[in-house]
Order: sequence, then structure tokens, then C-alpha cells
Amino acid sequence: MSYVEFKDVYKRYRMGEVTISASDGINFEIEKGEFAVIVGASGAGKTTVLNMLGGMDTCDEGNIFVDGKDIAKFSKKEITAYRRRDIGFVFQFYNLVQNLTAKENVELATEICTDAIDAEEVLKQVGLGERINNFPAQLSGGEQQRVSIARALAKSPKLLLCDEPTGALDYNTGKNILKLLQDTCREKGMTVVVITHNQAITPMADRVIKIKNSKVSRVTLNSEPVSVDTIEW
Amino acid sequence: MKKKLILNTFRSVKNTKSRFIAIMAIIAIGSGFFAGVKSASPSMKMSAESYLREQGLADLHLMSELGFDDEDVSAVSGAVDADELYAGYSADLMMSGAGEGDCVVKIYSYNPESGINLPYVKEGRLPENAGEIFADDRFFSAQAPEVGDVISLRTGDDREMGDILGRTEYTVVGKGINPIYVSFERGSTTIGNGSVNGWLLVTEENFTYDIYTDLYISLAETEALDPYSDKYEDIVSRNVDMLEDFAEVQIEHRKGVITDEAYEEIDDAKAELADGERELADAEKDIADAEQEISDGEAEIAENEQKLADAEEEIADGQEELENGENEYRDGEAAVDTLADAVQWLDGIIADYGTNSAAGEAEIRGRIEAYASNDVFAVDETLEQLITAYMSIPAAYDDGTKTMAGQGLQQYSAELSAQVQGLEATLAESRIQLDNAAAELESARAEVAEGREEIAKARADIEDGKREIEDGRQEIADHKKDIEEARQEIADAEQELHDEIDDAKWYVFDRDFNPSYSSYAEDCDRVDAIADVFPIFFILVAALVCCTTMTRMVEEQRTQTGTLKALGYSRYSIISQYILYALAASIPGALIGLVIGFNTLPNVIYRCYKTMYNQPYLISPFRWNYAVGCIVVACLCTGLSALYASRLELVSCPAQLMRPKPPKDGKRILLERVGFIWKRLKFTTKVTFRNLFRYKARLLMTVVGIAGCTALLLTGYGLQYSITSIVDKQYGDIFKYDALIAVDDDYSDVWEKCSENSNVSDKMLALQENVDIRSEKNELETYLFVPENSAETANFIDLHERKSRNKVTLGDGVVLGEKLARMLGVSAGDVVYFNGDVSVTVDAVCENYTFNYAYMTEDTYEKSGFDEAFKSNIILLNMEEVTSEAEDALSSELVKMDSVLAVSFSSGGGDKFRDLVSSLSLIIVAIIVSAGALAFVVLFNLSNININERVHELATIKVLGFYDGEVAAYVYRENILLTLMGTAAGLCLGIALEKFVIKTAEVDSVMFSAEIPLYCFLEAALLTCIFALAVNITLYFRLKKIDMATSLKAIE
Repeated sequence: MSYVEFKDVYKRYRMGEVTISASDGINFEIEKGEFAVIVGASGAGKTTVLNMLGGMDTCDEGNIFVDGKDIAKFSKKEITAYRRRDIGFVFQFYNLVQNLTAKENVELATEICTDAIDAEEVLKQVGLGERINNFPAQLSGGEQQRVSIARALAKSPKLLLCDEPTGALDYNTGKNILKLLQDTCREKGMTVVVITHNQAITPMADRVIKIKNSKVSRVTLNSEPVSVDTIEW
Repeated sequence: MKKKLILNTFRSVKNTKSRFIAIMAIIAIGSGFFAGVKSASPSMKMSAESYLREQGLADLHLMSELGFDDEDVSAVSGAVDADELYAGYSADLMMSGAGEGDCVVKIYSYNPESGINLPYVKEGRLPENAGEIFADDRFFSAQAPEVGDVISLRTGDDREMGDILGRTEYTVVGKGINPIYVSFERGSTTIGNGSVNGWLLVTEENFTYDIYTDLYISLAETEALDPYSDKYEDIVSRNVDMLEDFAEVQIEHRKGVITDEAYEEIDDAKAELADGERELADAEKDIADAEQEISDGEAEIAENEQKLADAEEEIADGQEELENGENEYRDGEAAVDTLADAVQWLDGIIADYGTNSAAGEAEIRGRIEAYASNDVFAVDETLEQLITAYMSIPAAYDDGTKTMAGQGLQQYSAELSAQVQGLEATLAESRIQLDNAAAELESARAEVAEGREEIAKARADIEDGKREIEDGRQEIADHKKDIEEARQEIADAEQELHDEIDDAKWYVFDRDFNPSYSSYAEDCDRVDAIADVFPIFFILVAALVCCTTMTRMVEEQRTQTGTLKALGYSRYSIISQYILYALAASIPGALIGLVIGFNTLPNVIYRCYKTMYNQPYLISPFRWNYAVGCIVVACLCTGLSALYASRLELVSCPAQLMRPKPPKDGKRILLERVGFIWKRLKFTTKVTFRNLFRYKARLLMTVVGIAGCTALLLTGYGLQYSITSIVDKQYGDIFKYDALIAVDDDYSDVWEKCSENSNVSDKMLALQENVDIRSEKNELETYLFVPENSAETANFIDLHERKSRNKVTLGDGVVLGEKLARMLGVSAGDVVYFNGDVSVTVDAVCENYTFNYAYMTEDTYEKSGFDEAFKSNIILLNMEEVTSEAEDALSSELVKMDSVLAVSFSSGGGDKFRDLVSSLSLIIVAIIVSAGALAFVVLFNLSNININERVHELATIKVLGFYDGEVAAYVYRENILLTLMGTAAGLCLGIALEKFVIKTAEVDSVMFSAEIPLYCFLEAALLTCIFALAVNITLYFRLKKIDMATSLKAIE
């Protein structure tokens, strides 16, 4: 069995009298240590997938296996524990707590983890060794996103989920962030899932899962993923 | 404003229900509380005004020591511009009714036509006929009569009942309230135990007074005025001044009348006295005359007795003479007889001799010889000679010789016969004489006897006369004493008249003279003072809450504002939206609050004061002025907050607005600079501190809100303690005795009874009376307590200073209760005056809570010069067993005794007071409820805003894998900290607030204890925490509902 596996996953939202299927029988797999990109147009249903994978939402039908466990069957408490232990989340808008310094934002995550990596070390890894005591407002967007990544990595999660990590960043900064993610994947063997609408970055992924109309339209495996530096958009 | 915008506004109301309701609620609480408490005082005054007008309470009350007569009444009615004037009667009497013993009452006359001082009927009806009586509804006595009871009245001193009332028994026909009595105080008197227990009302006809005792006036000018207004005061005081001047002149009228009447009497008495004296003099003269007469009589008697004695002697002589005469007569008779015999014999001899001369010679011889031997012849020598001669002639001689002899004899015999005849005639004459003498003697004798009888009678008369004189003398002495007394009496009466008249004056009282009347107004003002603090506090909090809420709302709608601006809506239109929203929340909120406030709070406060005052009803109208004021303030509050909140948005250009507002920058806080503390803090604690100080305004507001809540609660509990504890302190700590028996002058049997009772462990005698006390600053009424033996006092009353708890012993001066001393503005060493001019130095001030007491020793009492001599009138008892059964047993034994006026027990002593106090707890409930509401609204609203503002952050930490509990704790830590800070601040604030409220709410006869015990602090803090907890629990569900997907969205 793959490290991550979606098996006939359905998610429906009831909007008044109409039922909308956000996930209409999603099936895909991701192997451990892969850099996967889930790509799709706005409203295609990729965020729903991310939510379910990240334990932020439940599915109505089907199985979601992560490291051999069906998280779709988890209780509320188990799912929280799953988020806590197994998932690192990188947000589009970084979602740093404004009131906490970079280090403290990382600590916010490590505080609740048992085998966390030291916050300062992680921040050094993401290249923010000099700015650990700065508040988010004192950091640039890229730097903030690095803090966000550091916060996700500090927990040593099984999965690093990134929701449009470059969405709020300029081109170069976005590239740098993607590079950081790719490097993390390669160096640490971390399984990274990036969700994006940007088709251009698919060449850097090991696996590209394309979602369209709430379904997986195509899964492409890249035997030779390229470095971010070579990609342009 | 465009229709769509209005629509949008109302949609947003629908979408933000909780916020809308929060604003409405806080506005409702604020305005309701303000309007409710603020309207309490005017409503109470208004009710009093209406009630007093309805009952026609007189503006002025005139009293005179000399009373008023019709001339006075018409003079007064000419002097003042009176709407109504009523001259009536009143008297203090003792009443006995259904219960045991008796009580003191004040009885008034009542005239239904006068329209002045009409009683308010609560039960039954007003008296219409003689013999019917209307009674006090709040009779402070066990004898409180019920409708239908028959009560009897007596004077209780030396006044004659007939001079006051026509009858002594009355049937109670109704009960109610007398407007003269504003509070439960019934005043003092000089009879019974000195305090009046209740009043009674009868129709005028029952009174037998010939002058009026009271004069009541309703001024025409004040008819339509608010009696608590300055204008009213001005008019009344002007009239008081005028009447006082008038009285000085008019009093002379009664003085004149009384002097005339009195002098008429005195003159009569003097005339009588003079008559008496004159009569006395006459009597004395009569007696002297009588004495003279008696001595004359006595002399006459002596004289007459002498005369009688002489007469008797004469009689005795007469008798002797008579007897001699008789003897002579008898001798004469015998001589006559002898002579007659001799004649006869001679004649016989002569006859015999002539015829028989010879023969008879011998025989004649013999006869002569026989005859000669008889005495008769001895006296008559002639006859002897004759005989001898005859016999010497011898028998034989011739006849011639013989015849010659015979012839001699014959001649002699004739001579003798003539002699006998002469003798017989003499004898007969002397017989007549003798008989006359005897008759005379007899009559003299009768006369003497008569004289004697007369003398005896005269003597008896004299004896009687003497006795009469003696009696007369006694009588004169008696009369003299009477006259002396009468003279003294007249002098006394004159003195008394002068005493009475010289100082006599009129007393002009206005309503303020009735202490309860002014204290009602003062209490209303107190409520008003509280009303100024509490509601303003509420309004302040409401404004703060509105401000934050509106700010948050404007911030939330930032994008929309930008869009609208971009679409070309004017600033005015955009602001109008918020203002509309604000008004939509505040106007109904204010109205709801006002309706509830006006209808509940004045009533709650009125109920508290109802126990003390006889205000029978409350009028609490919807006060438009307050209502409009509240609505305006509420609208300003919310509207201005909306304006303030949207000020930034309005100057920004649309593009700026469309972009998300940069989150407030994180900052280092002061505490971080204190490295050694900061380093030791747990990470989560650090976060909490950071967050706490991030939004300073909200921090402040939350702390203020919670502090307010705690302060209110502490005030409420503190007040409750202050009020309830004083009963225990007074009747536990200070009054150690278990029972108090009020007795009349003759209490020795009661004293004995107590000695015999095995349950009585200790007892003491004391004098307790109602007196006036005065200092330079104030004049009040107080109880004066004088123990008969001051050494015993400590066993019954623990006099001590409150703070130091040092014992106070009674010395040369007076010891005053703390509140009394405070109100008089005196401390140890100052001088106070009792009953006008009895000056005593204050020795010390002792702890005392209920009513006012002044304590002094009997010595001090005697030395200070009180009018009345010391005489104990109460007995204090300590009991072995203090159960209600034991008390019942003791009291039932005692009240049966005539000299027991009343028995009260310390365990129940506070009951009257407890009633009063229990009603005040309503106010406390009101405070607690409003504090709770305040805390809840403030906390909920602010926490809500807090969560709304940080929903992104919270969603993020949820994504990070925080359990629900941890997410909640993340927020709660701040709330808890804020609550603690608020509570701490509130406890400090509460102490001040409680002090203020106590100071303003305290009534004259009570001192509330100032300290707040620890448990009140705990209770207030705990309750605040419970409110906070309740808010946090509701928040928990909100937190749970936060969608993690929010974290993925851009910040709005």
C-alpha cells in the first residue's frame, strides 16, 4: 500500500436544496518521500482534498490511508492528534500569529509535540537564523513563509501539506520557497504535498495529481523531476 | 440613504444577531438601571406629594401652652392666607385593649369636613359617631387593636378623664395611616413609659376640652406646589416667621383671658376669705359676750342662792315663831278651858250654895279644895282670895253674909266669864294670825324650792354655754387654719398663673419639624445620590462596550466599505449605515430597558423604604424626560462609537480598504524586559501576556467591566453584611441582657418576682427615657440610659469603643453612641445639652448600631439637674436558659402584673429592626442581578469580539493540532487573567463604593457597620468568577464551531 492513498473519497456539501459534490470519488496515491503536486483550477476541488488529507475536514464516503491508517475513520480526537503529530501545514497567507516572534511561532507548534526539533535549529535550516526574534510584521512575505514552513517542519511531520505556498509571494520569493520545499523533501525524505493552481511548477514534482470537476482527471509520475531553478512561469 | 444600503444594514442585523443583541442588552441594562434608579427618588417624592395632598397634611401646625379659643382661631385665619384651617384637640392617654397591659396613645380629633390631616383608610371606615374610634395601622404594641375591638382609655396621670374626653370606651371601626406620621416613629410623651405606641382618632364631639389644643393650617399659596420644592419652603418659612411674630402679640389675648378668669376666681376666693375672716371675728365676739353672760349668770345665781338661804332662815324663824304661837295658843286654849271650867264650877257652886247653903257647905268646900289643887287657881289670886274668903265664912252665918260673899263670887264669875270671852276672842284672832303665818311660810317654802330649781337650770344653761364656747373656739381655730391655707392657695395660684402665663408662647411647626417628614425627603435624596453613581457607571460601561463592538463591526466590514466607496457611495451614506445599525440596536434597547427599569426599580426601592415610612402607595409614571435623555445618550453612545470607529475607514481610499487590514503588529511587552521573570514563564503564558497587552483598549474595558461587576457585588454583599450584622452586634456584642421589662413606679413586686424566678440569673434596675439632645451643631432625640447601680452595667451592656474595643466605664459625664456622637458632631470632652439646657460633658463614645443611646450614672443624672428625679423604669434580666419556651414562660408570668408595662427579649429585640433590614436586601438582590447582567454582557461581548478578531489565528492553531481544550485554554488564559485583574480592581473599587453607599444610605437611627468581612470579598470574587466561567462555557461552544478552513482564507 502506498504511503498516502485516497480510495473512492466523496465529500458533499448541502447548499439549501442542492447538493454539491466537492469530491466525487477521488482516488490517488502518494508514495513516501515523494514531492507531490495537486493541481487544478480554482473551484476544482483541490482544497477539499487538502482539507481531508490534512485532517481539517472529514469525508462522507471512502477511505483515506496515511501511513497505513484510515484517517477517514478517526474520531475527532484522533484526527486532532493526527494533525498534531503527522501533519505539517504551510498556508498561503502564512498564518503566523502576529503577536509572536518567528521563534515563538515555531514554538507554538513544538510546544504541543513530543519529538519536535528545536525551533532555532529549524529556523536556521530555513535560513532565518538571524531573525528568530523578529515579529511577523518585521519580516518580508518570503521570510514569513519560511517561518511558516519552519513551524510545519519543526514537528517532523509525516506529511508536509502546502496550500498555494507561493500564492501571496512575488515570483522570485515564490521560487525560493518552492526550492526550500523541494530541498526539504530531498534532504529529509519528507513527503511533501503542494496544492497549487499553477501548472508551471508541475515539472518539479515526482507526482502530479490533476483535479478537475471534483475528480482526479490524471495522475502523472515524473521520473526525472527538474529543479525549481530551471522552471519559469 | 439608498434603499439598498438600508436593506444591507438590516441584513447585517440579521447576520450579526449576537452582536446586535449584545448592544441592545447593554443599552437596555444601562438605561433601565439609570432610569429606574434615577426615577425612584422623584417617584417617591411624587407619591408622597400626591398622598399628602390627598390627605391634606397641614403645612403648619400651631400649638400653644395656653390653648386656642375661638378668638385666636379667627385671628389666625385673618392673619394667614389659609386654604383650610382646622382647630382640633389632641391628648396623650393610656389605652388598654384586647391584649394584656396597656400602652400609650395619642388621640386626635377629626372633622371630616375640614379637609386637613385626613387619615388614609386601610381597613374598615372612619369614625362617624361618638364612641367610634379609628386606629393606627402600625401600632407598636401588643395591644394593637383590631377593627371591632373595644378599647378603653385612661389618663395615666392626675388629669381628669372627664376634662378630656366624654367617654372612656370606644369601638374600633377602622385602621389606617395618619399623614401626620410619616414614619414608624410615634414620638414621645410624659406618661407611661415615655414613648407613644400609636395614635387614635375620634370625632370632635368626643372631646370635652373647652379650648382647642392644636391649630392646623393649609396655606392657600402652597396648594399647587411640590412640597419638596424650594418655593414651597420659602413660602412656608415666610409664613412661619410671620406667624411667630403674630403669635407674640396674639398670645396676650389668651394670657389676658386666663389672667382674668384666674383673677376672677382669685378675687372670689379672696372675698370669700374676707367673709370668712369677718364671720370669724363675729364669732369670736359672740363667744366673748356669751362668756360675759355666763359669768353674770353665775354671779346672779350666787346672789339668789344667798337670798334663798336667807329666806330659808326666815322660814325657819317663822316656823319657830309659829310653833311658839301655837304653843301659846294651845296654852291660851287651856287657860280658857280652865277659866271656863272655873266659871262653870263657880256657877255650880254659886247655884248650889244659894239653895242649899248649909248642906252644901262641905261639898263646896270639898270642891273648892279640889279646885284649889288645880293650877288654874294658882294664877288667879283674886279667885283664891275670893274662895278663901268664901270659905272662911262659917256655914251657919246668916244668909246675909253669905249672900254677900255669894255676890262677890258671882261678880267674879261674871268677871271671869268676860275674861274668858275676851281670851277666846284673842285666841280666835291669834288662830287666824297663826294660820296666815303658816300659809305664808308654806308659800315662802314653795318659792324657795322654785328658786332652787331655777338655779339648777341656770347652772345647766351655763354648763351648756361653756361647752358651746369651747366648740366655738375649736371651730374658730379650724377656720383660722382653713383661712391660712386658702390664703396660701391663693398665693400659689397667683404664682402658678404667672409661671404659666409669663413663659407661655405659641409654637409654630412646619412639616420639616416632623423629623420623619424631612428624613423621607433626605432618604429620597440618598437614593438619588446612589442613583447618580450606579447608573452612570452602567452607562459608562455600556458606552465602552458599544464602542468596542461598533469598532469591531466597522473593521469587519472594511472590504464592504471599500467596495461601496469604490462604487461611488458618499461617506455620508456609508456612515449612515453604521449609525442606522447603532440606532436600530440602541433605541429598542433603551426602550426595553426603560420600561423594565421604570416598572421595577422604583418599586424595589420603595418597598425598602416602606417599612420605615407610611407612604401607602407608589406612583411611578413613565418619565419622558429620563426616557428621552436615556435614548439620546444611548444613541449618542452607539452613534458616536460608530462614527469614531469608522473615522479611519472614511479617510482611506477605496484601494486601501479593499486590501486586508494589516494585522496589528506584534510588540514586545514591558514584562519581557524583566528577563529573569520572562525566561521562567511557560511559552503559553508568554503568549497569553503578549495577547493581553496587544489590545490595550479591550484589556481596559474588560477589566473595567469586570471590576464594575465585582465592585457592585462587593457593595451588595458588604451592604447586606453591614445591615444584617448590626442586629447581632447590637443584641449580641453590646446588649448582653436577655430581657427588658418596662415597669411603672411601683415595681417592687416585679423585682421580687424576678428574684424568685429560677431562670433569672441576674437583674438590674435602670432608667431609660426618651430625651432631646443638642450640641452646637445638631439637635436629635435619643434614649437616655441611667443604671441605678452603674457597677452592674457591664454584666448587661458592654460599653466599648469600636476600633480599640477598649471598655468604657461610666464616669462623671455622658457616654454617647457612636452614630449619635457623629451626628451631633461631638467627641470626648465636648458638652451636650439634654432637654434644652441640662449640660453634660461627653466622657466617651461607644460602639452602637441601632437607635441612639446616651449613658450616664445616677450620680451624674442627679447632679446635672434634670427636671425629674431619678426613678428606675426598666429592669434588665440575664437568663439562665434563653429559649423561646423559657422566654414565653417568663413573659406570661410577668405581663400579668399591673406594674409591668412591657416585656421584650433581646432575641426578639432585633426583630422589629430585622424586618426593616430584610426589605433592604431587595436592593441587594437588585444590585447582584444587575451586576451579574453587567458582567455577563461585558464579558460575553468582549470575548466574542476577541474571538471574532482572532478567528483566523484560532483556526490556525486548530490546524496545528491543538485539541479543543487547548484552543479554549489559549483564549481562556487571557479571559481568566483579565477576570482576575478585573476582580482585584473591583474589590478595591468596591470598598470605596460600599463606603459611599453606606454613607448615603444610612438612616439617622442606625449605624451600619463599616467593615466588610473577608467572606464578602470571597463571595464577590467567586460570583464574578462564576459569571466569567458561565461566559467562558458559552464561548467554548463558539470556539468548537470555528471552521479550520477559515485558516486557509485570506484575512478579511
